[in-house]
Amino acid sequence: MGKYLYLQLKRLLRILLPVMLVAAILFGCLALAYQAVVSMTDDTQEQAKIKMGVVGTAGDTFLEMGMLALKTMDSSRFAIDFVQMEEPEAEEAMRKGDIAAFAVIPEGFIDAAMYGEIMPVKYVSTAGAVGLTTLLKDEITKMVEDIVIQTQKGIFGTGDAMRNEGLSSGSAENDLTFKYFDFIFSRSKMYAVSELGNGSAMGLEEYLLSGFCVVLLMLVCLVFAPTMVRRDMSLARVLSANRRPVIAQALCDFAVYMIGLLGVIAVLMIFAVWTGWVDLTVGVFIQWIPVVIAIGGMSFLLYELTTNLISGVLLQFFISLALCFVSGCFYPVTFFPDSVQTLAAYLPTGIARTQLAESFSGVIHISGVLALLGYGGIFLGAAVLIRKGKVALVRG
Amino acid sequence: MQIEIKNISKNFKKKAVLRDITLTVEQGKCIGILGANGCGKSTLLSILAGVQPGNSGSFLCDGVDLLKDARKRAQLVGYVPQGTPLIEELTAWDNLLLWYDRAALKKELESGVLQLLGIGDFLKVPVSKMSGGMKKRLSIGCAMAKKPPILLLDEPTAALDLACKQHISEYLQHYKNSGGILLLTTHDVMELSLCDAWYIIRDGVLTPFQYDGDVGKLVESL
Repeated sequence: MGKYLYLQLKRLLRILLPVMLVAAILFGCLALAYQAVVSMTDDTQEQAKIKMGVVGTAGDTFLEMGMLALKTMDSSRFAIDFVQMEEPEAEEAMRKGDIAAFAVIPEGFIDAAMYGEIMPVKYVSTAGAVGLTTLLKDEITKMVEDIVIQTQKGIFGTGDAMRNEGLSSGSAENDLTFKYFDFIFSRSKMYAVSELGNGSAMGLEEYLLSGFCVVLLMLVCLVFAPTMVRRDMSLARVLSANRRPVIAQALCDFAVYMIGLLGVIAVLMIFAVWTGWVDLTVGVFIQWIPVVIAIGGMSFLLYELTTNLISGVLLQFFISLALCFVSGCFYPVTFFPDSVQTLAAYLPTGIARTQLAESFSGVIHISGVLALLGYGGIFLGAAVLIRKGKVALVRG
Repeated sequence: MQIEIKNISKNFKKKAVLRDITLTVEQGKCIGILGANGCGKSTLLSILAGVQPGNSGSFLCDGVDLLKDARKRAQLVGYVPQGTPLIEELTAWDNLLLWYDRAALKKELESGVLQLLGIGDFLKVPVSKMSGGMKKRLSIGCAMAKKPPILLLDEPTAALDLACKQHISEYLQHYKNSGGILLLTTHDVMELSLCDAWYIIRDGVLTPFQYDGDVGKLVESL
């Protein structure tokens, strides 16, 4: 079978340039889509913070201190962005939609607070707009108003109490103030913030990148369709008649296909690293090998199942799309029900995505590698059986 | 040398496609196997070539059952199926390298079977750019690599133009004259005239037919 393998490699070289070109175009499109999703996620996170104007704090040390504490220490800083501004400026900003609302802290607010009185804070929002978002924003800004008032009251009350007790200066005042802050802000301990579903310290970008890699591999498999779909089994029959068994033919074809896939992936990775788009290491590339064996093996089997190009491409495309979706390559898998998450953990695409994601952090799970190689073996075995059937099926 | 096909049967599920096919062919003879589409002609040749097993029967050559001795069968039997047993993206030269040693290939191209088939004319042409006739000549050239004394051809000139049919028929005549045994399935009048005996497969049974050039009579018999 040496000659057959050599000629299949030669065939691969002949088709590699057009395959590479199409793969590069697909890579470019996918990279743009990935970049768009990543920047959209960043923007969404930024936009998720509600901007709220605060008027009347400028020049007042106590109020500015309170605002600083809210901005830097309070857990509300993740949801609300406080902007100090003048009233006309705040009105203009709200008209433009730059801020959701603004609060005007009235003159004499501090003096009143020091005597235990509450002067109402004027709260201005776009109440005319009706809708869930508006209601939510109004609710949040009202809550913020309460936080501002209560925090300021606490600070002034603390200062007053300290002065009454003769603790008006030195570290004791600061200590008490910070203890108070700690008490006020400890409400953040009432809830836990959880990251998008992955057990490791992986970020969303790495998660999306691993999904991107699996989708890319599926698409590269698709590019090989014209050379992988066998419409005519005559050569396999003649080889079989000449004591070159079907299993040996299939192994040669599979090996050449794997070399082709890894070659294309290697070139694309080198390009991606060279342009500075991603930072990948040789270790990450080695992690691709079991992934390519499993995913490439699956596509090898799908091509073996079909006898014409159109059905081959369609079958490969729709199965890839479905598996990538269920495996969380497009959306984080934690968005799906538990049953789907369990299924994704056992699918070849799911394991491949997890392996690639973890390889970015330098982690290698032998169980994942073995599972991928196992899948590759099963797919190859099934492909050999199907090809045997096709070779022997001569009617007429 | 002679070949004896004895009691070859083949069932697809419960349907009997070939029933006790028995035939003897002497050296230097060409046998034409006729029949309607799907009657079992290609199935018979593929069983003789070892591509698929029959349910029973033997294929004897000088006392050796070629259905059981794959090594001997590969040496003695050349098989040209109906399709294109070639690698489309590669040239004629590359495809021939799958079957010939480099030295033997050069020799055959200069003064052997490949020269007779005229393959030297399109040696550097990729199969995907070849005509049907070129592909068929190349397929026969590949099948002749081990100079087999028995050649099984499944509709060798189907869908080819007259010049190609003529070229291939001339080569097959040469092969027959040099002592080869030809077993071919056909629907083609030009190929029929090449044969020394004709058989029709109908309902899985092989029966002799006397072809005298009367196509009408042949069509009635199918």
